[in-house]
Amino acid sequence: MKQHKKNGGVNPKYLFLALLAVCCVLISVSFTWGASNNIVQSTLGTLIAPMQTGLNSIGTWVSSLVEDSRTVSELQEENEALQLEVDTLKSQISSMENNLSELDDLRELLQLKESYPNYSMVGARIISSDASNWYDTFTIDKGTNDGIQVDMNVIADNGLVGIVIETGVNHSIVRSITDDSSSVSAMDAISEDHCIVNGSLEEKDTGLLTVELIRDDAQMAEGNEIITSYLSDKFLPGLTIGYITDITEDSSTLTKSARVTPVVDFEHLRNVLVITQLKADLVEDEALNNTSETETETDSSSQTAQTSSGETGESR
Amino acid sequence: MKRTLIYIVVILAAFLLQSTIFKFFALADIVPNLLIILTASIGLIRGRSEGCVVGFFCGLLMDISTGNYLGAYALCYMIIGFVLGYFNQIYYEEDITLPLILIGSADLLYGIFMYLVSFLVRGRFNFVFYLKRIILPELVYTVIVSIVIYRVILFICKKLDKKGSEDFIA
Repeated sequence: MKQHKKNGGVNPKYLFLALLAVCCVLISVSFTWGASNNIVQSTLGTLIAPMQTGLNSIGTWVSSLVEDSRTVSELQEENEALQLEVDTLKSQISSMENNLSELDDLRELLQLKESYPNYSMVGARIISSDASNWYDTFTIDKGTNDGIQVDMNVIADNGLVGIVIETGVNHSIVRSITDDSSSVSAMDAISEDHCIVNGSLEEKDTGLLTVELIRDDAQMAEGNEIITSYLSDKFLPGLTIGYITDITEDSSTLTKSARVTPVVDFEHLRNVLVITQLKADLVEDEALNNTSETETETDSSSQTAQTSSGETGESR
Repeated sequence: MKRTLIYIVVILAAFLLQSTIFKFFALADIVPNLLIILTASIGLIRGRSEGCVVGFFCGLLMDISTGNYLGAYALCYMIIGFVLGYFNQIYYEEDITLPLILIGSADLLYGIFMYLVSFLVRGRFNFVFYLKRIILPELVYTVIVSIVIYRVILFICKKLDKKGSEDFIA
């Protein structure tokens, strides 16, 4: 009796049926038009994002308190190790610079385009993770206001982290490559054999990614670097995913499977970089460049690079 | 009206805690499901209608944070809130065992639902693994956390009831 009064006399069963209908409508709507351009989702997310930013900073503060309690000797040790690394890296850089100038010369000779142009990036902070234990998605504090679009690639530590699957004004949701439903078209950096890298919840404890559909005659070996393939329609080519740890032959003996250790430390991810270059645009630009090249065959490599950057600037 | 406002605040608080601060206290990568505790408790204390509405909005928030298909979580949470509402008749305030058992079974139901909807359909047949690695740890962690959270929710509901009855008399 009490209940009926408080809900304006609505029978709970009818209420249940009404909400059930709403759920079914929502599910069918997002199935038909996809989840990425959903108005309800992006507006509600926009309202929630600032609160998540605030609360997340509390969490970061607490965990930084734990880190602050490290002793001076530990820090000194770490400092020494880092200093050593800086020195070795510095020497590496100088030798690399020499190589690079040589590479530029050779490229000029061959009139080749730069294989991996420098993409423009936006830094973002992770403000919350998916609230359930089933998915591996997270929210970042940059959205359409900062030029972020769905399908942009997200990287950190020089490795692939994931892809933007939804954007709001001030936030976006990123699906990590360790998510169970994530799969990336990839290839071996050395042998250029193609494969598919999947995230797997079953590998949650090991933190590895599973690799499928490696051809039986592929020259892949343990320790090889796996990078995103140029075949992928969403991931930019040449981003490092990780290194092969073990490789096994499937029972069909037609394909092989492997596992990959990602270069990104997903456990301690706080900040990420979003590449503001879409693969789809890149493909279009290249198509445009190719046509312009056939029209005026005198186009040098530097000019085409300039036009392509100009076009992406406009499309943004 | 006041009740609606308080519900909104509580749902938001539970969701925000679960998606931010509790991630830092995750045990073996498992986070307790505060929204299930909230949905189940409201259903139990207040009955079917409110359980079902609160569950719907809790689920909607989960849907938003995941970025997958909108409505799947909402459906699951709503059904849980509604079903738990039936136990409203045999529930009394002093008892903590029944709520804990029911919250545990609600979380189990939720786990199985999630497995069916988003993993079995993609050909992940290793149910035992998911049960051992995700569903049961989450259940245990959720039940432990709910010992505290349930009392907080009960306290809020009692306060609201008192206020409501005073208004009614005045």
